[in-house]
Amino acid sequence: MSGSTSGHGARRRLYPEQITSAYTQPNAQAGAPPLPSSAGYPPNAAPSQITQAPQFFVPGEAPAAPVPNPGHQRSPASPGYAAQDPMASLSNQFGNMGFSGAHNAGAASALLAGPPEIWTLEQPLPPVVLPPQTAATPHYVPCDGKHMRSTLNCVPNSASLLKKSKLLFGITFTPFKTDDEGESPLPVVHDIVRCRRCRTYLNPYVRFTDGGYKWLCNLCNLKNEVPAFFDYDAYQQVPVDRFQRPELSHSVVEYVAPAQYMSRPPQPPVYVFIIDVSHDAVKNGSIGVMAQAILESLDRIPNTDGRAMVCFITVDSALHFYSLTPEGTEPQMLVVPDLDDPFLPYPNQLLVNLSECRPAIDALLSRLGEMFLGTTATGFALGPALQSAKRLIQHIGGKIIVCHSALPNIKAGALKNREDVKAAGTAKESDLLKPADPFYSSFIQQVLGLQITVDFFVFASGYVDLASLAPLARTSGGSIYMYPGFLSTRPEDVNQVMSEMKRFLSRDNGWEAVFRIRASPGIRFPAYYGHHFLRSTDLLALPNVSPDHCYAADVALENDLAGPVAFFQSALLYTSSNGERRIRVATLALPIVSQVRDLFRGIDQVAVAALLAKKAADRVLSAKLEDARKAVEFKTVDMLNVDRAELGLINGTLGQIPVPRSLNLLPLLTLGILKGDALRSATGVHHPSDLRTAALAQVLTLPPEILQTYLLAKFYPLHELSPEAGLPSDQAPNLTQLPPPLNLSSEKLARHGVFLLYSVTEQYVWMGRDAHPNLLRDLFSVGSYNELTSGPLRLPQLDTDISRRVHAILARLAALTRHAFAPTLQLVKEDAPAQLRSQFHAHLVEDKNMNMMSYQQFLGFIREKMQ
Amino acid sequence: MTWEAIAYLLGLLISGSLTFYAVWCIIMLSDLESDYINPVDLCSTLNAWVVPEVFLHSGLFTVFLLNGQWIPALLNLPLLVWNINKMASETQFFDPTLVFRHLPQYKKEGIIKAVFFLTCFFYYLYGMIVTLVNENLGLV
Ligand SMILES: [Zn+2]
Repeated sequence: MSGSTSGHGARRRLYPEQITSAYTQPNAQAGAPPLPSSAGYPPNAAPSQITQAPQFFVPGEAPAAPVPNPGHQRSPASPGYAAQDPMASLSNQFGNMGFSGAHNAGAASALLAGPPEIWTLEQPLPPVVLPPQTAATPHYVPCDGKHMRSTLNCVPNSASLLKKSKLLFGITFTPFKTDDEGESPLPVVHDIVRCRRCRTYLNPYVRFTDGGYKWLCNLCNLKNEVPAFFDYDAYQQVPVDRFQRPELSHSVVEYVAPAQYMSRPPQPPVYVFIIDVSHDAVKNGSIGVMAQAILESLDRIPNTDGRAMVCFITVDSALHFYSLTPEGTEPQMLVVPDLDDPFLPYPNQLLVNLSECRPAIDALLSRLGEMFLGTTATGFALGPALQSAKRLIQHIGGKIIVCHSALPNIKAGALKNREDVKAAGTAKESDLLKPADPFYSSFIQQVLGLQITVDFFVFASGYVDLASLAPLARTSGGSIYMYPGFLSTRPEDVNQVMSEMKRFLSRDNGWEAVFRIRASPGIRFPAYYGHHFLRSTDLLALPNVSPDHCYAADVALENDLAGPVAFFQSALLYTSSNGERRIRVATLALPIVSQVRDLFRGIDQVAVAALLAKKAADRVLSAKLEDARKAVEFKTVDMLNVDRAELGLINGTLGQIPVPRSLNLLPLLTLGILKGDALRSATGVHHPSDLRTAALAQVLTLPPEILQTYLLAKFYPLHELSPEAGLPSDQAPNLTQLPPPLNLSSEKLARHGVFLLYSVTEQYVWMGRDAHPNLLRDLFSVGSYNELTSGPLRLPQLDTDISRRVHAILARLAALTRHAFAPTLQLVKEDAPAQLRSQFHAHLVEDKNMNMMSYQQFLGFIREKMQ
Repeated sequence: MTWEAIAYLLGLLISGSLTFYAVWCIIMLSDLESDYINPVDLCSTLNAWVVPEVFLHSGLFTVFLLNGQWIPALLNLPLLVWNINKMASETQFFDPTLVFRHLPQYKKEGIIKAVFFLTCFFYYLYGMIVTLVNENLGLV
């Protein structure tokens, strides 16, 4: 295993002999261009299909070395690096028009033909190139794209330039991102220094003037006093270096907020569980699994100072409360059958301190699974349960976590089954995505100011009208987890729920949060996307801020921008789980440009696609599905159809249309948006509206770096893993390297192959009939293809090179989403049942599938629209 | 005074007050934009007046219709249809979660309504004077 990285210094793809020869006869395709074929398991019989469809590397050019750390590398730390433009060299490497030099880098072109260069997705973000001395100190850490990411890494200097470029300009934020593995925690600052006029927080981009006594605000240019403690520590009576202060050396810092940032004392974290115990929930066994997951998470709920409070309400045709006391270990069930005006018996014993009443809570949860086994009640009174929960916690706020399997069907908030298979693909389908009952919207209005968040865990096998319930989560900053067809008798279902629920309960939450973004004068944010409530034109209220949730904003330019650099500063004010009021501030600086071609050089296509998808998801909720799809198509064509003369693009022969290199993957990303669960056309193929609603919530909340994989799955050949895949890289020893991704096309599937496909909420292993027996032995510990059955797959931990590497790859993929999702690994054999196969093939977006266009057809469609 | 003149007088009062109401709505929405009021309070305040407004306006229409005053009735018909349409699609109330999204539209509606009611006000004034003059002419 260790031998695989030694022995060759060059970054070219040479294959260490020990791996190539480990299992197989000599590689028959030794003369083939060095593609991501490689070590391992070539056909053991005659190849039954092309395995290495020639991709369109320019002959003679070296293939792209896989980027060791795909995604988000910090842009050059100091302006000193700025002279070199990595984007230029990158474009030249791929450009097939022969442009050279940095001047034409933005104009490098791609043709709307051939398979998409999907591996370019893994390349680092276009770097932000700032003029020298933009920052007060050269040794500062710029803002990471995971905190704040712009669709353009430069800002147009006027609205007319933005309009001329036709580009989508917006910013995505993940304001409460948890630290990733290997990332150092955010620096904490105790004294808040802000601009007197525009309230901007002091940041690395301020300028010191008047002999260092004043600081010039980088947003409004006001001169502010530098406080004395910047240079002198009065407590220890020693001079200090102001440039060591974290807020001057880091773009993302966390301030400890004093009392004036609180409207009331920090409240304890509150978790109210509303658990459906009606017949449906008894039947699928979700009650016991939920109770077990909660029980096992109780020690991990953020509760360092022992203030967390919990409450359990079980619901069928009646409400059941549980009186929990510190003394007793016997929880007492209190049944309230009057649902019109449910009273709260012993309110002080219902919402209780987690640490104090732990024995009683443990006893309740360990018994909850069996308590309702005999239930035949088919009613599920969610409305009254929500009202009771609200009354219990309205003076504190907190989380209401609804776990249900049934459609709320009695009393206030009763819903009807409106699912209509015939509506698929018609205008009526859009109506199914809008709320049906006014109860929930009036409930939302009641809880808006109360700092209450509602989250959903849905275990339904049938319709639950999620479209009517989802607005509760959407406006309160909540999340939606969905397990369609859940059965507690299937271990894989239980595993998934257990790990996602435990992660959900143990993750750090911010409470009573508000989020605001400021920017240089002339920049405005006309619309925001994500799960939030807009409390004023620029203030997002988040009763509970999740580390997994991303927010996006459109950026508009009101008047011409002055100066060489524009600034964006986001501030999240929240209460931590241990009752501290904190402000997390991130500052992003982007150069202002005046040429269309400079703008095109700074495009971040993944962020563009993320914003495009979020705008479309938002549009589905207020307009028609078809309108949203049309808008995505229109904007894609619009962006590609830029004034080509302006960019210096030369029309190709045979009527081919060159498009800017920096948008080479936009058509594929757009196709991913259109074919995803959220926006997919359901013509001829039924697509349950609940699934669509859940997918819309994912699109609205996932940050771009994860949404990218949600839209375009990662697809790897396990029988031909590149030699470095699954091993730590030299640069980052704790990060497993991922193989270069394959094109999402069924042409890549080979009879003798085994493939991994990962799409954030689903993961599959596809296996061909002629898969090499040695591979089956080393990876699955079986002797032949027939010993495995399609369906949930438990990949054994084997002491073989390939097994270790595949497990490392799976672990790295799970870490990409910060473990928020733990999808079941499904084995799809070549002869798998049709339904499983079509689930798998739905992710191969380059194919013609689900009655929707193939990639090549889509390119044809774009070309047609462009002319 | 004939019924016709009374109807005009009623119209005068109602359109006058609805003009003020529309202007007040615009002011409230501007307050929201400049963060002087939060969307929850704004919506609950405005929503209290939605039904009275529609009630007054449709009442006036009915009076004109019963009197056979076709021209003023016709003048009010588009707004009546628009109101009914809004009620039917259950979008007549302000929703605090969506109010920012619809803000430009709400303000436009407010301005159009204010202009409409003001125009109506002067038309009714003219109508009333003409009617009263005609009445008096008849007496002579
Ligand atoms: Zn300022």
